[in-house]
Amino acid sequence: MKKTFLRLFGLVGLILLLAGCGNEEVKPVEINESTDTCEVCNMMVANDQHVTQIALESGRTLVFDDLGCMYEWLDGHAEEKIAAEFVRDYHNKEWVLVDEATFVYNQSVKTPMAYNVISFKDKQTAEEFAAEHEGSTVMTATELAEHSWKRNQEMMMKNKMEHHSHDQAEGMDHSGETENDDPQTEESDSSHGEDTH
Amino acid sequence: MKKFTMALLVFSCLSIPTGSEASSPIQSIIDTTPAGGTVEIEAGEYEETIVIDKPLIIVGKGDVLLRSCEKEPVVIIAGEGVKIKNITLEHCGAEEEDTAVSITGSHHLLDGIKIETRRFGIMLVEVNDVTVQNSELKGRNRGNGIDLWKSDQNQIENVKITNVTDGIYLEQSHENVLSKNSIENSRYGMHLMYSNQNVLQENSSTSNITGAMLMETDKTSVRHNMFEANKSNVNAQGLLLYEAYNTEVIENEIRGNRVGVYIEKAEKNQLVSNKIIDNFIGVQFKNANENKISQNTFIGNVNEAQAIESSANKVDNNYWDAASLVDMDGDGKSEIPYHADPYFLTLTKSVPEYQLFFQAPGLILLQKLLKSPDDQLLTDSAPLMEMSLTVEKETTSRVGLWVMSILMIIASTSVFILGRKRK
Amino acid sequence: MWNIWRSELRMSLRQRSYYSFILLWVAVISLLFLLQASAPSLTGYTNMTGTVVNIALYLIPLFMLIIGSFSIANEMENGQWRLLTTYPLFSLSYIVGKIGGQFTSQLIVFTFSYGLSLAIGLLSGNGFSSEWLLSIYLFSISLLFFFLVIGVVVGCLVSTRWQALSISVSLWFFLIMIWPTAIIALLGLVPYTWIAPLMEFALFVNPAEFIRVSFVLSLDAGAVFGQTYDSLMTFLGSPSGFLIKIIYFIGFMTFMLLFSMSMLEWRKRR
Repeated sequence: MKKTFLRLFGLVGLILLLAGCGNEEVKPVEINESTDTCEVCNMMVANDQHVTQIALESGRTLVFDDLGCMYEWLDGHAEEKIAAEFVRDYHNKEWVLVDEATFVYNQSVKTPMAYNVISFKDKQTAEEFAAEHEGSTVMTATELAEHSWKRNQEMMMKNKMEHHSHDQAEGMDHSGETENDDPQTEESDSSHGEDTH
Repeated sequence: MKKFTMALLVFSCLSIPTGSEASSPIQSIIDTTPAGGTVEIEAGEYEETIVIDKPLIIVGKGDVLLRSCEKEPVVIIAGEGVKIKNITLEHCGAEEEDTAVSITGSHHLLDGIKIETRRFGIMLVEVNDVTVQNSELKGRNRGNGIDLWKSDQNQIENVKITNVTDGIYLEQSHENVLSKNSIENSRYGMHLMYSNQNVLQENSSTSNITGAMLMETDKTSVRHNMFEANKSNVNAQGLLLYEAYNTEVIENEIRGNRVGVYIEKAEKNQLVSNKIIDNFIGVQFKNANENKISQNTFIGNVNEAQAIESSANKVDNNYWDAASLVDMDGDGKSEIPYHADPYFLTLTKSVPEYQLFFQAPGLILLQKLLKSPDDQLLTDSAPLMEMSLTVEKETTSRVGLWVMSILMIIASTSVFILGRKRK
Repeated sequence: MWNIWRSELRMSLRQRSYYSFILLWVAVISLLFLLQASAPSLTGYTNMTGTVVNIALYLIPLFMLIIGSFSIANEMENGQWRLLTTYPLFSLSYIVGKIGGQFTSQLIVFTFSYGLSLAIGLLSGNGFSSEWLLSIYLFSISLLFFFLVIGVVVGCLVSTRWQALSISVSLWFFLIMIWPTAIIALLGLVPYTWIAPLMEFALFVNPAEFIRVSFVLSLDAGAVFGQTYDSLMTFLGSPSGFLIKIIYFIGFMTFMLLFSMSMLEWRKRR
């Protein structure tokens, strides 16, 4: 009996000890390539410029392999309390807060989950990149929140649909095949049209 | 017509002497050989990169080794109808996107090629009807083995791939056939993204982080593959389906993985007649709906099935060795449905740290106490009574076991006697 | 110390209940071995291994706690211990002798039963893997030892056999049956970042968990515990992990011995 009591005592002591280290500023955690996986799509996370992370107020950190995955998670977890969101600079992999970063969307940039959005620590480098690569859209964090990740996926879906159409596919009856009238979707579709055939 | 081509072939059969004075001896022969000709390369080591952009047959006679540390690939293939046979390639470029072989165009054949690379092995970009067969590929875990991008109707057969990132990677590539390949010690054995109607058959994917990973795919056929011992990594699994639709996973053997089959956000897939054996966790379902899981054999899995947020899955006629079975009407199916308990997944989803309690006796008790509501359960409505497969197992020789048994008895008895006697 | 050891061994070997253990172990183990016939493979961390491990975890700690605590509580109750205190006998050697004697006798009965069950299994035509058999054997023996020690310590605390029984059973219930429940409930109260370190702490506090996890790890299945413990598992699985196990053993023994010794010394003076 006393022994369990003693253990309990030790545990309480440990808790108090841990409590001693008060709250500090939220910092991005290091990426462990061999064990970290994307919270959304389960892919192993490479320690590259595409990694993003969310620090929850509880202290838990979620890692994402692609900016798009992070926004997909945010979409489905509006109730979670978030302390900070970090993205990486495309060039030097420095961690930047989402609100301070600038983003570039470009269909020809490869990202792990093909959401094709990359992040930069300042506006200048982002614009330089956009200038060098045709078809880029520069966005701020607020604009990015409005960015149609979904539509991007739909484009993928639509690609599939189109692909099916000539071998009598049964429908992919999930997620919208509805908003085809979006100009951006149409455009990227036509540019990808050749490849899928 | 055929005769004419044959004649041409023989006519253009040139051979190259070893250690030619030209800095790129093979390339110069290739350049001078007319389209449709054959280039035979004498045995030896060559330090050069080659570009083939017209229909040619390149054959290595004996041990031919092409090596390069340049930025360019050792071999670049373009155009149509290039055939390369019996050549060993070594590439030691270590830049991010370096590759040993780069292929564009269509109707090429690579046969009997051995590749050693530091980054990528073979990159196929927007190709069509290319065959890679009977080859070997070894990397340094820093790039994909065979990487297909927007490439359709290709065949990859009997290629042995080790130590790469993804053994065979398909992105936006459709109707490819991957068969009889073996992939070991890599990140993902076969990795399909945004790729449809591909066929994976008779491959073996062993000791990787994930045997095969299907993401954002439609109508993939996965048959007669072996996914084994993908278990060392904390995220390892035999087969992973994420946003995969209409996949047919049939008659595969999924053995000794951390998780046999992991299915998330995937719909309308069929998991039929697979042997799911000796995995730590047999199948895991997260948010997976309208899938069919039927006639599989689940044996020896430490934990057979876990499912959360999954509904409308059709689960029946599987054999579960952990199920309690009663057949009252003699139709070979049990009247007691088998439930996969979601508690462990629910618990570890919000706090992954509790995975340390995996199969702890106390947790099993807790799981039984906290019966989850029926609608959250993955339920096999009619589990099979008898398993439909015979298992062969390797055993230590009986003599050895008898010796062990008798040794134990003798040793304990003698200590026993000693203990009783001593004053 | 050796005298206590020997007499404890002799005493327990002459008890009738001792022989019932042969019956118990043979029944349980051979049943498991017969079950093994339907298992697809004989090595690694499989369903069968999981079952054996859990049954061992249910049974062995309970019996060892009771045996361990009774061996001392008995002498407390019938006054033999009072008698012994009149001799110039050091408490430590008394305890070590008790543990040694009991462990030897339990080792004998378990090994005998294990060998006999193996023979029964072989006679009924089953195949086994010697590696698997040995690892299960070693796992059981370590459980046996650790809980016997805890049992003896419990014995030093109590004055009657009833107390010994109730404490042993509740300790068993706490460490084996409701351990995860208790930890999960407790950790629900702390901030998220503390969970991982406290889980690791808890792992070392409960020898049953430590032995179970080490065993699973030895079967090359450490990955099943997930990302959080990857570095711990890699570490425990490496050669220096063996050192940790030894340090753990020494630490555990020192703590237990010092604690029970001070208990006895305190009682002596009373």
